[in-house]
Amino acid sequence: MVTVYNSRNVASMSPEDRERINWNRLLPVYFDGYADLGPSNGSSLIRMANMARTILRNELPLPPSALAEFIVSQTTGKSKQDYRLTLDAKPGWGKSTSAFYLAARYAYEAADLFGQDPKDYFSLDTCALLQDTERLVQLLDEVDPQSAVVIDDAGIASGSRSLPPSRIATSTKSTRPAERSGGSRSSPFQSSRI
Amino acid sequence: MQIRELVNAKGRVYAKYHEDGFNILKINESEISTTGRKNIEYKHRLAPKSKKIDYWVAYSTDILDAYQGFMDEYNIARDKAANDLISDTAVNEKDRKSGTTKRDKKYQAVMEKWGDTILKMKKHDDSYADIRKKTGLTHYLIDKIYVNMTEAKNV
Repeated sequence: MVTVYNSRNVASMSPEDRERINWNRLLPVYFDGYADLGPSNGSSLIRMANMARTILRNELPLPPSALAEFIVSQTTGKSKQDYRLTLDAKPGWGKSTSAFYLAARYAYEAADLFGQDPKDYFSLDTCALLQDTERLVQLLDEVDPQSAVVIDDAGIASGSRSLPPSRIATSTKSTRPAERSGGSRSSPFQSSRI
Repeated sequence: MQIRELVNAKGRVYAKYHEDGFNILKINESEISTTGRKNIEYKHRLAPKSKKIDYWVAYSTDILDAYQGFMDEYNIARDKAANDLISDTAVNEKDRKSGTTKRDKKYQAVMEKWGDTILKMKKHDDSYADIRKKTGLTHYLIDKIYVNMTEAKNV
């Protein structure tokens, strides 16, 4: 069972977790919510990868995500804004996996904030997988507020089939690339979509 | 208006570490200039609460308790969606080659419904306005149906 920390519950971290994390010298990552990588150069990427590798190999709890918390603050704040994000990469680089993880972390954050289940905010039902524009519009119309929507391969999905002009206008407006598509698209809520 | 102008941020998979089970993403806020040097895109670093985010690590969704087995379900759903898409594309292609596209079918239906009416009204020298009022069709479509109907009758 992997514990997912956020900036609110990290202070009540169990002593065992704290000891394991401290032994791997990653405690600042958990309490600051980010890793200080030093100068922005090639080495910073390697340092980041090493930290991620350490967390996975030692089965440490997942640290707070400043990005997920930022998106949740946008979608659940006073203005309840949508947040749209596209995600690009070469084929086979893991766009879908990364977008799903970002959406899942968003769902964890939102669920923790409102005391609900993460699946209330993101599940396979809120993913558009190679679906035509009509289904995409239907999904965006039906999805619950503050849900994360992932539109996978948005370029293939939307516009792949003909629609009456009135629906085309709607789809153009509503096609919010959640995370990815990603992400990117872009994600995606009746009005807040990651 | 393009999708790239509507998104809050753009991300890309900056480095892949599939053997280790994670990817590193780079995410920038995107701003497209509409004044001065038009259509120039500026990428800003994400800096929520004064924390500058250069990289973000994305693990597999399966490591989260609530989403265990998610990727397997996704693979099945995606295969099904891909098959549906291929199947639909093949059917559309077949229809297009055989000359029975959706547009043709719709035209045939309209012609069957209003062809005789248009012929009769034209013979009575009714105005286009009257025909349009009765059928709801455009000037162009009325002419096209009239020509086709006349040719069909002559043949």
